[in-house]
Amino acid sequence: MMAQRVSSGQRQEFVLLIVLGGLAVLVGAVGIVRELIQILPNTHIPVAVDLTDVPHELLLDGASGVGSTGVEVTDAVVRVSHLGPTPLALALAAALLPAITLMVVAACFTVLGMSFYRGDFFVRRCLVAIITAAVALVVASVAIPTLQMLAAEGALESLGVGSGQLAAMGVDGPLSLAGALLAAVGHAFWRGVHLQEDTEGLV
Amino acid sequence: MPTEDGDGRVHCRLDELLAERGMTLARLAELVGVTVVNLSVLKNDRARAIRFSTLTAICDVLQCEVGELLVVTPHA
Repeated sequence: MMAQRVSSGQRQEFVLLIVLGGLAVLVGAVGIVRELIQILPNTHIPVAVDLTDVPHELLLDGASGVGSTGVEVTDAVVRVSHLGPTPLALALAAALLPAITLMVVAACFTVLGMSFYRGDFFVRRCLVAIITAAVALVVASVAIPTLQMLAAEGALESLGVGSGQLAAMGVDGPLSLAGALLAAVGHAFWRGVHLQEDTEGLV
Repeated sequence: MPTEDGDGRVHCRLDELLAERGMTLARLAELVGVTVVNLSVLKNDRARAIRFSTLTAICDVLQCEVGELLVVTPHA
């Protein structure tokens, strides 16, 4: 396989991509460890909840003691302890998945950067990296909001204030769009890889 | 069904044809308008495909037929 020539300017950009990707993988790993430390003891686990359909009352004290103002909260973070196995697993999955997604996508971009640095552009390794990142983003765009909703429902249930409704499947628009765009780039790379293979060894 | 690279059975006789004519690869590259690297790939049987234009140009310069340049070796 013949590598293409890469200019020194391009090399610097690819090194930057490798470094940023590596850093993002590191950040993801730190995030995973932090979440594990926070959640595994099963005490005071912070869970983001949507209180739109949960009856609640919150009073904000006036600054000069002139009375209180009732407010409606839509999003809040509740701290729950002693969750059952399923709610705990859901809370853990909801907390870990964003970091795992970040790590997978960052690792794929690091692989791309390393491949580009060597002058290998339209090769199967790059194609696999792009498709993996795209699939990770698309899966995460559905799994993250869905798991977060399920975890929130489990947390509210543990507090005895659950809505009792089954959580609907959620979709993260920007993430799914990013995944779709990356999949489109992956398709272009797939064509490029085939073109490269077809013309390799052509004289 | 033929395999993608024909099992590498196509042999290029460029070496022999050049020797018969006392011509160097560099000179042939110059006359044909193909890089020495590409001709070297062809000469060493590492080519997987050849353009008709390259084939025609080589045959014109060496005044030979395609069958003299490329031969299919029998199955091992």
